[in-house]
Amino acid sequence: MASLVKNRFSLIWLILVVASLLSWESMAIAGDDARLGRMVILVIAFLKVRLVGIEFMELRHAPVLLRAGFEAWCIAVCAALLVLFW
Amino acid sequence: MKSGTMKVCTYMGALAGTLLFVGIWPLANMFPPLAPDMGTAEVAAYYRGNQTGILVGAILIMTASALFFPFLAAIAVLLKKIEGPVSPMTYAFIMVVAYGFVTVFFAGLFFTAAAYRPSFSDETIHSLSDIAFFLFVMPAVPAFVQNVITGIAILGDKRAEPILPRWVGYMNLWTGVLLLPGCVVGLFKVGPFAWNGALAFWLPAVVFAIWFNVMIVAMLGAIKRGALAGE
Amino acid sequence: MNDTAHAADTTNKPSAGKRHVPGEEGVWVFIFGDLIVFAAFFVTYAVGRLDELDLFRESQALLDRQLGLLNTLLLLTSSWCVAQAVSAVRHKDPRARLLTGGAILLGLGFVIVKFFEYSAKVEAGITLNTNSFFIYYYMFTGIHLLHVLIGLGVLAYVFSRFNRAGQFQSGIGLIEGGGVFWHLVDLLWIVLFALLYLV
Repeated sequence: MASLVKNRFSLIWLILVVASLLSWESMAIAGDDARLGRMVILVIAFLKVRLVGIEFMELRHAPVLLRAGFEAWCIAVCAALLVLFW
Repeated sequence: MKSGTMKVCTYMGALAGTLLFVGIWPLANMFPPLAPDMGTAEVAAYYRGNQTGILVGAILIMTASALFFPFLAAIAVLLKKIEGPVSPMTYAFIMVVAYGFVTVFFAGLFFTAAAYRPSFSDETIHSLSDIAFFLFVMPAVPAFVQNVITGIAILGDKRAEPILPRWVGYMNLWTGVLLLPGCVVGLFKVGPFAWNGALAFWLPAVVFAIWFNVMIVAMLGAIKRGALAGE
Repeated sequence: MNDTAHAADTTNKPSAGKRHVPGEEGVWVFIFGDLIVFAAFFVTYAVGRLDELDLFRESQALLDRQLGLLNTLLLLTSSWCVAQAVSAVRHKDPRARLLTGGAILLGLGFVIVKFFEYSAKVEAGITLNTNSFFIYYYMFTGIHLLHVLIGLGVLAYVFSRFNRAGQFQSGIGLIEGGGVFWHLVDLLWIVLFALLYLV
């Protein structure tokens, strides 16, 4: 039986957890520069979203159009929020 | 011949939608809705100043309410065909739309009542106006149930070639979930979830329009294919 | 439900040469419909925030960030369970049933945490109409919670399709489709957590 721990999904999970903790602390890391903190949080959030979509939803094996639609959504929404939270 | 009456019923939906839109928008001038935080005197003045438009628009709105039912009946026929003899979803659909869509009639009735006697006090006119708008937006809950029922029935179709396409089932579930936030309009007078807000009015309005048009096209497609033929 | 369409598909990498739509095409109508509507939610919030920057900052400070983080981790782990369960079903691995059960329990954990979070807010006198930030907070997390509950219902149905030996009795499309929806719930929370609690 394949290991449930040593596989790609677990690696992705670990990355997602570390990213969550990182964005949790990013206001502290960014220090006085609140804008930098906001940008970091948003970018991390959408990198996480993309990982969930591509890996967990298995879009990386999906038809190109489906995957492209998802990627376009991530980029468009992230860009809009970065501008609005600048 | 039967497919002929089914087609007519389906087109009745398009007619009802058009009448509703014409009645509420250019005639009654209630689209977008009056702001919930508008002053009582202002609201009353709006009804007094636009009396004829509102009264005529209300007739179209009430007519539309009745004409929705042949359309909904055509949906029920398709659901019944999907479910066969044991058809709880179909019956639930029929009952929930019977009161969910009748509110449109009452909305028109209350617009009429609010505009009918300009000599009435501002507060009276404002109260009647509030009731009319609640009747338009509050039925989010029956609409939610109606769409979820439709979606489940369509997805439960085990035929190799389903009566209605499966994605239409998912679209119904999506519509149901997104109409639901409309039920909170009583809590707010300003902001995105008030009855003229971006998320409680405009979004459900767009979602409803998409649902309506997709259903008409999918139903006409099913009728044309002869999906109702045979047992 | 689509039993035959994916029955032959038992490899771990569902592509194995050909591209594969997770679940069935129709599910993606719902997924993309929801993504677009939530995009409208996020942008409305961001625009509303620009009008009342101070109020949003002060109100945000009142949220329980620890509980928000806890819920993020619960959903991430639950998503991991579902992804593993889908892969296990493809391998006819009986642990798929356990993994699906685990996903449900973690999802229930999310609901319980949310319940405590809401009741603490209400007890502190913070309700729906406290200010415009809390309208967004309650409405967005509430609509998301509705998605969580629907997702739990779907997962419970998926769970019921396993027999005692852990064999999946429906087509792979069912667990894939349910999984995709559950990942959507996770993904939307990631953005909500960032927007409401962190930024």
